[in-house]
Amino acid sequence: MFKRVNKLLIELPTPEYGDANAAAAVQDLLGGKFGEMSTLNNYMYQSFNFRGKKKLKPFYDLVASITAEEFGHVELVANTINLVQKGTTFTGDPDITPMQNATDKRNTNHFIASAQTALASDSMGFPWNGTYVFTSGNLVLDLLHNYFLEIGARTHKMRVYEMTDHPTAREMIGYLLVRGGVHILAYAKALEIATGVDVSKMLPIPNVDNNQFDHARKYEEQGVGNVLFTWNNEGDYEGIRKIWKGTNPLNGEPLVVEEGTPEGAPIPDLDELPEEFAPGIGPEEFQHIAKRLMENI
Amino acid sequence: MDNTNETIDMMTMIDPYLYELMLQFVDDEVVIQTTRNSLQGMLMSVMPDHVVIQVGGTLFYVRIAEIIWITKGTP
Repeated sequence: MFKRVNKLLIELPTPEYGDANAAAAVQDLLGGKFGEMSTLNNYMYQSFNFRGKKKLKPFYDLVASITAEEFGHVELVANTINLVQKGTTFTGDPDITPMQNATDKRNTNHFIASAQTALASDSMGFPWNGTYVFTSGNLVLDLLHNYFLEIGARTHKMRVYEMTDHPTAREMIGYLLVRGGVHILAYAKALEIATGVDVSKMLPIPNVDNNQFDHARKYEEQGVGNVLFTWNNEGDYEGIRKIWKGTNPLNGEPLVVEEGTPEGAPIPDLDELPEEFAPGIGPEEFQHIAKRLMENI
Repeated sequence: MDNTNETIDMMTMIDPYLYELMLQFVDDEVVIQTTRNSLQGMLMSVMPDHVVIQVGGTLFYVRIAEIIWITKGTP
């Protein structure tokens, strides 16, 4: 089962200017093969499909709790796209072509299929799909796959960071680079416990430290790179303490497990876009809805 | 040439008719189409080479040379 918290993992800056093409690029970090929807669904299915949950509880706990974190990552990237995807169209009568600037943008789907908001696809509009989910059921193989997946996700984030300097995108990527580093290390440690082989020796891949990225450095300094959360207040996933222990080989600091969730930040509200007919509730309809909502409570 | 000191007034390229027109739009909601994108907000002030438009709570300073058209906006 899942509970939901109406908070965003971090506070996202909300400048008034946007960049439609940057929002298009960020889609890869959401619905691309190495995007957050992939990390989410891989760990989620692996957790559903885990054979021997009691016998191998710490490994089950790891993949189950990271699933919950990844939900928040998907939410964060989608919100980033929504905050960056602005400033292309204006409000006006349909006949004055208020969305004329959209035809030059890289992702026209954002203006047609959605109201300038996130879609479940990559930066070229190719849909996210279930073939991106690897759930072999073999523990070591799945852990090795997850290690590879997180490293690929990191690489893609670094590339998108180099493509745009929009503050919202940079802040999201900076934070997720650090969290991604945590997951890479978590799977490396899980592999070491499962096989005796220390694969963390080959990190970082690519061979660039997170501290080279301004927006990641501040999260590294806050210790965000040393903590795993259990995403549960009933002690269900305490087993991760048996894997996430010792010191971080990349900075020498102690690894920490924290119960529950991070503090989080408010979920941004999004402007109405009449030119997109979104949400498409005018003042009169709103009155009727308010009346129907308030009666018979 | 004279030996006396001559002052040179600043010379700037302006679109004189566009400039005059935009003065009338000050304090109105406008839509500005630039060579890059469109901006929609309250026209705060007009200078010979740029205008100031407030979008949400933020001021944007837009070069007149980069404006393609302006029109009255819907608030």
